[in-house]
Amino acid sequence: MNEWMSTYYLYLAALLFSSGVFVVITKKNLIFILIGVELMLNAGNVLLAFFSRFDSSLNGQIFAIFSVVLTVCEVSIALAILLNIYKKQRVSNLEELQEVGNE
Amino acid sequence: MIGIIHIFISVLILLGVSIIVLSNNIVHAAYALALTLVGVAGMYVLMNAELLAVVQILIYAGGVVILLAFGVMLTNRLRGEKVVTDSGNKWIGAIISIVIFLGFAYLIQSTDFGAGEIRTPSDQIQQIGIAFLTKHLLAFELIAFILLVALVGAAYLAKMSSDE
Repeated sequence: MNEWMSTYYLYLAALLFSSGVFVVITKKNLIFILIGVELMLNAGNVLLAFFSRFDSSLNGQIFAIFSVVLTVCEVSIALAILLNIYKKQRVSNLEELQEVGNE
Repeated sequence: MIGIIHIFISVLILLGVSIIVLSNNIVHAAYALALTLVGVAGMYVLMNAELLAVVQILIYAGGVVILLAFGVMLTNRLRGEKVVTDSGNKWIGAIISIVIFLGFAYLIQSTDFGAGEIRTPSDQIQQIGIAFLTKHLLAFELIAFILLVALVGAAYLAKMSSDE
């Protein structure tokens, strides 16, 4: 395997992670921030799958599949919480969000 | 070994990521996320991780993106407001993410990965299935239970908000 090929995936994962960080820091909508978190999680999965190639036990791929399922749980719960916040407080902009919890 | 397919997949991912970063429209960002995730699935195929690629397309591009689109429709569209959001802290965000990227790039450049020998077996999907049901059985059952609990909890939370 030549040198260029091994760093290709690593650079793409670094790009995904850093743009996820950018989205989380700059955007003010909760759904946008979830999208940024998705990008970062994907970067992690890419690395797991990449380094799993050098291991004959395939544990990296299995861990990546578990991480995909956990991401689905996280997104569904986060969207339900977001829906609650929006219905109760009529906010979707993080700057306007002052308190979370029962009124 | 550098095929045109690598360039195509990089372009796909770069396009999706730049739409997400530059656009302020949430619906555009959700579908750009789908584009990016399909690109990542292509990367998995190139890495010979076929099962992971299929899981990625089924769950992420099929499930998570649709869920996000529903989230947009259920929140922002209620008041008839635009699906456009603000963005702030642009300089701080740009500086932090560029520093993170350069840090990763430095680590990647300075690490000697050695002569990586690809050891994935040819019947890997079969082996993953066997590993799920033998070596990782407890984790497999637990993750199924967590998925069930999370979905029931999400449905309950969403119902709670619609009762009021």
